Amino acid sequence: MPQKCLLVAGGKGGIGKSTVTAGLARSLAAAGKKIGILDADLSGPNQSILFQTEPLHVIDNEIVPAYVDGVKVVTLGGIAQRETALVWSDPVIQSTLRKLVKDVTWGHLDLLIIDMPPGSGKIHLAIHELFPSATVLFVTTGSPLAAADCIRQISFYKRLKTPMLGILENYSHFSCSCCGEKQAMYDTELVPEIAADIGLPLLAQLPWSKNPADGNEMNDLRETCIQWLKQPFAAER
Amino acid sequence: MPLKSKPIELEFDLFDETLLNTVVANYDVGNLLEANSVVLEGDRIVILGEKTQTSRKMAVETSKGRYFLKQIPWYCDDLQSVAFSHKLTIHLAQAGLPVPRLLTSSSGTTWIEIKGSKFTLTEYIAGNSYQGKTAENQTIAQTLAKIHLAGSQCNFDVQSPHESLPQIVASHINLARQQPTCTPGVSRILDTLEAYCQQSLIIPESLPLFPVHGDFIPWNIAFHNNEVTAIYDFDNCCMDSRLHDLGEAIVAFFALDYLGQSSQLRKGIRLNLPVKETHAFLQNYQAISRLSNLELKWLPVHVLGAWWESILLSFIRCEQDEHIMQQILGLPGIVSDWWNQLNFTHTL
Repeated sequence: MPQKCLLVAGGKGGIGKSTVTAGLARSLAAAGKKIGILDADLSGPNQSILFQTEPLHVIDNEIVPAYVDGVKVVTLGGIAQRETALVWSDPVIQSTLRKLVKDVTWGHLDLLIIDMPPGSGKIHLAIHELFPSATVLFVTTGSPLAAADCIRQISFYKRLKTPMLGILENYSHFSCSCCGEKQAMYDTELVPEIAADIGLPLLAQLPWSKNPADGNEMNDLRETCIQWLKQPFAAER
Repeated sequence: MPLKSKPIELEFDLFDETLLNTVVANYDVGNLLEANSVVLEGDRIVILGEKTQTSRKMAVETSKGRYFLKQIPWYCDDLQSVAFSHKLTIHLAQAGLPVPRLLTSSSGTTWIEIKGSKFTLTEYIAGNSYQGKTAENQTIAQTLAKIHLAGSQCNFDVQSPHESLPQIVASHINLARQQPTCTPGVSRILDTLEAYCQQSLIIPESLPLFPVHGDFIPWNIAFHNNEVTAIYDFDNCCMDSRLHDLGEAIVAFFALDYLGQSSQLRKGIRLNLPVKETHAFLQNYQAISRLSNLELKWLPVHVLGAWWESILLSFIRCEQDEHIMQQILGLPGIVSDWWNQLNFTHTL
């Protein structure tokens, strides 16, 4: 079972947790790190789309992760039809996640990145039980709604005493296709203010992009993660 | 194959902890440790709840072992159907056939009722899903014959539910008419099909009766090393001609492609049957139990009916577009050609 684990969370849906997860994983893998992704968004498992994975296979009662762009990906996406609503009752959330973590041939990983679902619910608590030493990276946008949910999410992880890597502002700006001018998408001050108030580093301000891993903007976050990975595992500290 | 007017929309009525604990408390299986709706079946992951739209299913771990919890589908949970199905299931398991053992509740029944729904708990038998291997087809045919033979030795003290092939096809035609996708063109096809069925899809009462499975399709069978390890879902069983199962099996195993997803196993329906493979299937069945000349005569009609049923069901579930409906009237000719190529009477 992977030891070093980074949760990509944020509270709000649609802020790019999954694309940041995929982009960061690809970027770290390209830098030579052994990276796994667990898609914990059981009702909206999108990593299968981002990595274009086939339904996962099982060999000798163990799930074989999809291996794409140097990243091992475990997701329930692709197992059910895309239009099928995946509804999970409380009793099975923990057992399902445990299966997707423990019954998997991960091999050696430098880092397991977990793409968390929106909100703060059973899945978040189940992941905390499975990975009590995980660190969390918050993704938000400058939208007041996303920021509000992010603040609640930070509060949630504070209660769990989860170490926090920092905040990433996604979709902070875009480049005009006509003049190339950088234009803000939301209030540019909001997320930096939240980070400052809470005392977390603002790790990056990513532009709107079809694929975050394609641009250089992911480099700062990647380097932060590489430095973080050099630190002793939390459980050993 | 699914029957009658199954609900088309999935109802999000899931197992909650109270229900699970109530079920477990009604059986001598120890304490509930874990409930799983995601299971590893052979070479794939299966989400049990997505495998069907008619009943809730779950793998349950207790301090005494692993069990399979299932809600009896609403359309066959009347006492007569349940009693008949459970009598046959118990008989077949005792006869040594690969049928999961039904557990008896603390009140002495093989099912329990909670909030108007009936549930069964059976032993959990692991196995692979169907992969379409020749060796699998061989054991499927032989196992089906053994079920029919062993079932015929069962002394039923309950009346069998009854469901005839013409009734099943007629109910599917009616359901297809109610679909929003039923265009005037499809409606005309259904009218023609209905008239044809009323005139030609008539099954003689002189065919010998057996307890039949009633849903003998790949996703109700588990395998290990090409051997059948478990046959599930006897919910639709009844006394009927064994051609009911044989016709359905020939269509399900040889005319359907499989997607491998847990929410949609069927990828598509082909409008041809492989002669060599279906011939081998029937040979393997007959290696265990010979079909009479009367049964052989009426087998093509059962294949035709099962094929129609399958296509209509796909249309009802929106798995197929109007295109396949336009070809449904050509099936009698296709079945006739297949049967002639099979040349089966000469091989007996």
